[in-house]
Amino acid sequence: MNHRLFHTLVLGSGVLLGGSGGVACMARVAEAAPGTRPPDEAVSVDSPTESPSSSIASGTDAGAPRDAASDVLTADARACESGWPTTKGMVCTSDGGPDLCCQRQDEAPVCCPRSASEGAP
Amino acid sequence: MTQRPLPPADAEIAAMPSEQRTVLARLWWSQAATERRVAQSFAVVERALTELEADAGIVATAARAIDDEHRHAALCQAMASRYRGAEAAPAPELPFAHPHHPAARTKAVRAALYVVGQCVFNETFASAYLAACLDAATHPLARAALRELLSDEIDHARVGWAFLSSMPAHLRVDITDWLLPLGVANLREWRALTLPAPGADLERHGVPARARIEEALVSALRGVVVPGAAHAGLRSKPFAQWAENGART
Repeated sequence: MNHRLFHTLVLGSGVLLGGSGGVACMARVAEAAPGTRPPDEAVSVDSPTESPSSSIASGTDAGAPRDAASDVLTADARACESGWPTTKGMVCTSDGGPDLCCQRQDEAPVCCPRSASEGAP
Repeated sequence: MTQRPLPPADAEIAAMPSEQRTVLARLWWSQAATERRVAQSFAVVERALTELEADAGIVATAARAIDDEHRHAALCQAMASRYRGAEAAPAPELPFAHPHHPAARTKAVRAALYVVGQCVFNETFASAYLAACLDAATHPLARAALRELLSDEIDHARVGWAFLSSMPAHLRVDITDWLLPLGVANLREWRALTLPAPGADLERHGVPARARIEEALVSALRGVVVPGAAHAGLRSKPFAQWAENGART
């Protein structure tokens, strides 16, 4: 298990503890695979020098029925709640009416008050 | 707005087909709206962390995240204007709602679920999504903006991971039991993206193909969230199996 973000997010989260949270410039993420593109300035790669053990990677120590996931999907109301709003992938347009922000293709768009008649892309 | 000025690219953008410029302007404009909405999410998270008497460093980072998201909105607004070739109108105010977890056993469990749902799940997926966008992007303007967003999202996700590692023992059984439904609900949101079908030119500007996004999300679930929870001592076999078996939502 060597996901580039594991080290940055999980192991790197310790920098927040016991301080004032002033770590804005410490956040770094791995770039694309070596050789695909020169690394950007100020973006460094976290070397996967510490990997979670296989038991951690599988996360399967706790016993549970094999069909528990199916049960959650079909019978557990907790999984039917919405998730937290995302920051990506909502397309807003303004074609003469209210600004439309369509979060899902299969649902009616969320209609928002028109913010301005001029300058909407 | 950014740690470094955005690079000039106006001549190249002006030479792009107007349809592509419009698509990109709308994407950034829309993201300006959603970034501002996520500031409200972090206001909820900060209150939850305060109620839980979480570590001061975690609370401070969550508080700063509120400002970060407003700064992201300004950056996205500027990007929309750059692609539009003129000042874009202020992005619309979006209605805000977040999950309330009525099945949570206690108020403290509910507060912890807010932190885990928004930071461990949502911001980890956001980091994976932005990393995929950055991988795809070759245009210096898009790369500069994406890099700026990603560096903050990493800190926002770390709020969740730091909380998970320091979470009081009495919350651990409940949160472990919630990992699977939280995963289903939050991954479903990310799979509901309405990005346009991109051509190579959009990839260059940081809009990857849907398949690359799906791969990034599932890879982050399997390679970060599941082992990260286990690393913090929260081991859920159903959650791990769900992730391994395709993470159906």
